[in-house]
Amino acid sequence: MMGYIVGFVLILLGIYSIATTRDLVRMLISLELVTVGGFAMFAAVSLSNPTLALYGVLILVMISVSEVAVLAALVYRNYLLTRRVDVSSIATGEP
Amino acid sequence: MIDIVLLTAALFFGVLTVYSRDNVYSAASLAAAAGSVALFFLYLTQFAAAFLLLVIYIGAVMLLVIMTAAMFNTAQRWSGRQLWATTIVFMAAVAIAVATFGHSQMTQLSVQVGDLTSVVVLLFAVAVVSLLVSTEIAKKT
Repeated sequence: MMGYIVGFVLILLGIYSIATTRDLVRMLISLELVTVGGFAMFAAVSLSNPTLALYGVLILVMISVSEVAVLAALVYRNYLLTRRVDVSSIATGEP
Repeated sequence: MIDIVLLTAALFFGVLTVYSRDNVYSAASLAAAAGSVALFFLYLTQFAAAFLLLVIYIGAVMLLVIMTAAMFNTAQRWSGRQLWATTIVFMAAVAIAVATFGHSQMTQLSVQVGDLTSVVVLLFAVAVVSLLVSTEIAKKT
């Protein structure tokens, strides 16, 4: 029961932090915070349905690996081109 | 007892991730939160999920996140209004979570169809959060 509460709070904080920040690296970190909240909710699910929790964790790990790879590549490429890690540097394309 | 300690540690490090100024500290704190959740899986004797979290998630994803945060060396610029807004959102999230999930021992999945009150509370919370997120994103452009 407390796993649901912790997971819900972490997911909401992560989504709000994605929405408010302008830093691309902080966006990546907040996305992973949402994933950690999902893991906490799956931990609470595993008390009643362990198979669902195992496959949920497996799929969530696969998703987070791919999205972290794509976002880290995006941040690095944007830094090489504009020397900044900011959302507005993606929009304008200029330093 | 141990589960409460582990989940409180996960919540603490997750909140510290949001509130810390430097991105490297934030990423390291996030890795600690993920480790707490993985130890909670280990406490529930879900060894396969704990293995996935401890080895693959922390070993690959968290390593990449910490390396990215350390490579660019940026920091979040907090203003006072943003700090207060984040605190209010955190308190509201705790209140919504306790109101939704706190009242019964969950043996089934979270939302039961017959219980209309929790469905209404959850839908209202999702609507409020999506309104908040869309407002913040619209301010950014």
